Amino acid sequence: MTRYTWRTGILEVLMLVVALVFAFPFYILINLAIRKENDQGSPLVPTFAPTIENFVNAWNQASLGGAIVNSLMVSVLSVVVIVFVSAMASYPLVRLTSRLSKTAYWVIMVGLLLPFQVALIPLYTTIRDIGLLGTTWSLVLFYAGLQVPFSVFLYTGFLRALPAEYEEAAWVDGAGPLTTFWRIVFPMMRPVTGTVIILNAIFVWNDFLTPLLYLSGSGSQTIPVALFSFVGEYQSNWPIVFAGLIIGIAPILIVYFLLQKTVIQGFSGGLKG
Amino acid sequence: MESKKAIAVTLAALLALGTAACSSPAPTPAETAGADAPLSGTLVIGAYATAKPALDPIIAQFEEANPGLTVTATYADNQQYQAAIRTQLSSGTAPDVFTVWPGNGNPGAMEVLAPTGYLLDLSTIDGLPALPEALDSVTKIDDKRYVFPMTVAGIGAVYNEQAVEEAGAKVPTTWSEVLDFCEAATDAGKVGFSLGLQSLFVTQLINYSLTSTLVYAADPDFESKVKDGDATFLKSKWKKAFEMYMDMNDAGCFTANPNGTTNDIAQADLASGKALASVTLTTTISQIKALAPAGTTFGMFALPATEDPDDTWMPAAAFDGFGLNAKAKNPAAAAAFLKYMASPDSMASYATVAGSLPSIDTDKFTLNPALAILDTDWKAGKTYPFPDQLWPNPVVSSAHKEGVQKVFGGQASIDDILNAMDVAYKTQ
Amino acid sequence: MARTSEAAPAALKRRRITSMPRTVLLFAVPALALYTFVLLVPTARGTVFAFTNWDGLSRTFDFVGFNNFAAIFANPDSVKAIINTLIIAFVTTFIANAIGLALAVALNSRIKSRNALRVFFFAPAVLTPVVTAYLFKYIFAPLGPLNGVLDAFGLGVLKQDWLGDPNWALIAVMIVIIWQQSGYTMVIYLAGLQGIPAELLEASAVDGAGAGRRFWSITRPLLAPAITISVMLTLIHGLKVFAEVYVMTGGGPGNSTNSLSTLIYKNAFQFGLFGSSIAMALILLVMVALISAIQYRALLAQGGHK
Repeated sequence: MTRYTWRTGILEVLMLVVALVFAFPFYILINLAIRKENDQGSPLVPTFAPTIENFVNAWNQASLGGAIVNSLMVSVLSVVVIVFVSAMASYPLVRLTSRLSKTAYWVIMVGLLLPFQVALIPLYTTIRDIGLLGTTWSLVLFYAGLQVPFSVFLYTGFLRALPAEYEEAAWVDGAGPLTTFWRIVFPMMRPVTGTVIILNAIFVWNDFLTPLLYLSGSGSQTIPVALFSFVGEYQSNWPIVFAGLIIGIAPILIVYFLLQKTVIQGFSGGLKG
Repeated sequence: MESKKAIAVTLAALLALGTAACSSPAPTPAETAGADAPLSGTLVIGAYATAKPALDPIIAQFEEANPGLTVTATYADNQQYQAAIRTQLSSGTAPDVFTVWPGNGNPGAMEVLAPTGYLLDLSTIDGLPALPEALDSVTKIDDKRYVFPMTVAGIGAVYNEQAVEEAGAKVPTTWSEVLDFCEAATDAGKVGFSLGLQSLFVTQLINYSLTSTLVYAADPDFESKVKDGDATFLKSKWKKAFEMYMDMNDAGCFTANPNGTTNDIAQADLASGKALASVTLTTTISQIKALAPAGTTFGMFALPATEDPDDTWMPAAAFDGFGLNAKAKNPAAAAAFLKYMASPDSMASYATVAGSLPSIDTDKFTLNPALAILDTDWKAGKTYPFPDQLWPNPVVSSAHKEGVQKVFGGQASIDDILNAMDVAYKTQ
Repeated sequence: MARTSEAAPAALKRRRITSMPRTVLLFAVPALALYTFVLLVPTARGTVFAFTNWDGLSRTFDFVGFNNFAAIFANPDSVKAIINTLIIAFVTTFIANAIGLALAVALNSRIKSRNALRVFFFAPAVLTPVVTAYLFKYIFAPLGPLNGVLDAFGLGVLKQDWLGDPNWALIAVMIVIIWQQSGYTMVIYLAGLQGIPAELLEASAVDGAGAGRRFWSITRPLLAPAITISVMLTLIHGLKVFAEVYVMTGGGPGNSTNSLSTLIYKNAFQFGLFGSSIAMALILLVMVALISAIQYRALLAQGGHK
């Protein structure tokens, strides 16, 4: 376990082979995206004369710039709200013993199961009535509510494993609940906050159906919807389509690579319950 | 019973489905459009993505002619569009001018949208040119016109002239020549008709072609007989047509694995000459041309279904339809835009870009030679609308399209599918 | 540090603060308000439609009792969608968790590439499902890269019309979901494994327990919380699957790959059968709830996550 033996070597080789199998779709995606449009060769053959032309064309034709800005705005705002409300909510839900607190916890957990298809249409009419339709705010509001159960689930799992001694000390020192929470508890939950940020950012960035309905007709789009209509237009031109797809997923992939360490840490905290 | 109704109505209001609550009596477009006051404000247009290349130039010209007006147009893929337009109409957020499919057959079609009162009766607009009578059945309900089609599109077999020549095949004029055509293709190592059934709309094209001759040309009243319960798909020549579809499959006419092939692959095969022909919507000819090597030329024939070339009809239908929102926010501009679209210049330019015929014949339009057969048959009255435009609900068409995939995949028999279509026809 | 089931109650007590004023519960109000506004109220309102024939467009509708539910079970295509959803959920949950666990165990070792591989295997889970679905639609085409690879390795007999053959299309869809979800489960299991003290495993190795035995009797019970979470999340994802099916096959060929979500979408927006689609969504809800409850209890019985 602690030394690199010949067995470890075999495992290493084996894992690299498995990784190759997993990498196959990525290989196809990139290989075609850097290929010249008129290259009729097999998609399996590596592209030796790469070009960035497809990326330029895709960028110009799919108007991805505006969509990326929209997606960024929606993702950042939603995640901020989600983290803020879910972290705060998890505190009393874990630390309070009252019946009301337990009930509230389970009511929120039921949300993990609800298929949002039921809520989609009635909510649409409400969003329209409060005048948010066609704005990115409607999406922020939607995601903030939709992702509460999952985020509270992660936060409460993590918080249960945190010993309460530090907070008790603060209580004894006469700090109020808000101070205790934001000064002491929230910083201690940093790993799981990382997980909550990444998983929600991925979800919000990738969601397709909601922006399709809520932004439709407003002229603004998010990345998945922009990609969908872009692919519809350029169907058989795979190099340019794949270049567009890569542009669309690049921002979220970059965020993931930057924050990847905390994903594992956050989960591991939550599993100590 | 009364109270149930009352609850229903209250709920409808509560759930904000009733746009009535928030709408005030607005002047009808006829009144406002008549005045010559310059147009102002914003005009919102919604259309399906395929319309973009043809519509954008017209919008640009219209904006130029009306400097006080801002036009915003949004486009969405067909299915997305249909989903969105329903939700928008029922929520009072729909565009002023928007794509409406003539007839029936999908959730964005006239027969679905008009009865709910969301579509404006276009006969209230002064100065809108008259459409040919042949288009009435799919653009009018009870003498009120709800949709204005820009073009007439057809379904025919588009062929790659060079590939056909190389393979030594002969453009078929009878059913047995169709099978000969396939044989010649196979002998030359090519595909007779490329077929991408994974794209659901493709599944129906050959059946529509064959039934236009076998069913609808032979018995012009067939549709009303089905409606009255005097005829069924199962006990009609629909069965023969479907069997011929499968005969073509057995004869090796089609692309291998059609169920796993998308339409764009089928089109690329036709463009490159791997396939000699493909039964397709005329609107796709320009896409196919764009994919083909320079110098490739294309022709079109109506798919024959009998041994007498004179029998052959082809499906041709009102297409690229637009409707006006009965509660348009800018009714004057909406009416003016529709009239602008209906002008001979716009008609011609739209039809040219879309690859179809203009719905109102005009000198301004130059016929693409590949569309010659459609033009001839359309003018000779040897065409029938796409059947689903006349079917009472979208489920029939869906049963048909999925049914073709099922029969090709060996999951169901022809009888099962036709029966399912009959059942769907009678429900609702 | 050893966490046995007897230690759990002590931990439970310690995490409560008895002196905390009840007003702290106000902290939960913003979350509860958002959640109620976005999910609970609309779901309740939507549920009413399951008992009507509303078409999503008209201003009126009638109450039809349980007709919508009866119609769903009488229609072979919707029954097929229910069965498909169950198959997708269970098969992808099982395989993605098995692969994820295997990856986690392998990467929780001293191999040099472990950090890079951890990042890499999770990457599919980050991809936009729309993108993944288009990519795989291309890969699974009859003349596409997958069949090309099989040919290149002399495995031509394994070539399939992956998305066109009704017998393979569902499998193809599940392969994509597994590809995406394995990395997700791996991360959860890695987290769980890192919570297991190495001394514990070493001590038992000294006692002469084999690797398999060690895994089964020490690692597995300690991983129970991770298993609970991971299985629950993959199961819920599988039961709700939409984009993968919608973009790759559109539910076809011939309805053979529809899931409940795609059928709900199709019925609601293409056919205007809002009442019946919401009835279907309720059936989905009941299925998700039942299965989660059963799974939760089963794992609880093994001394899992509380």
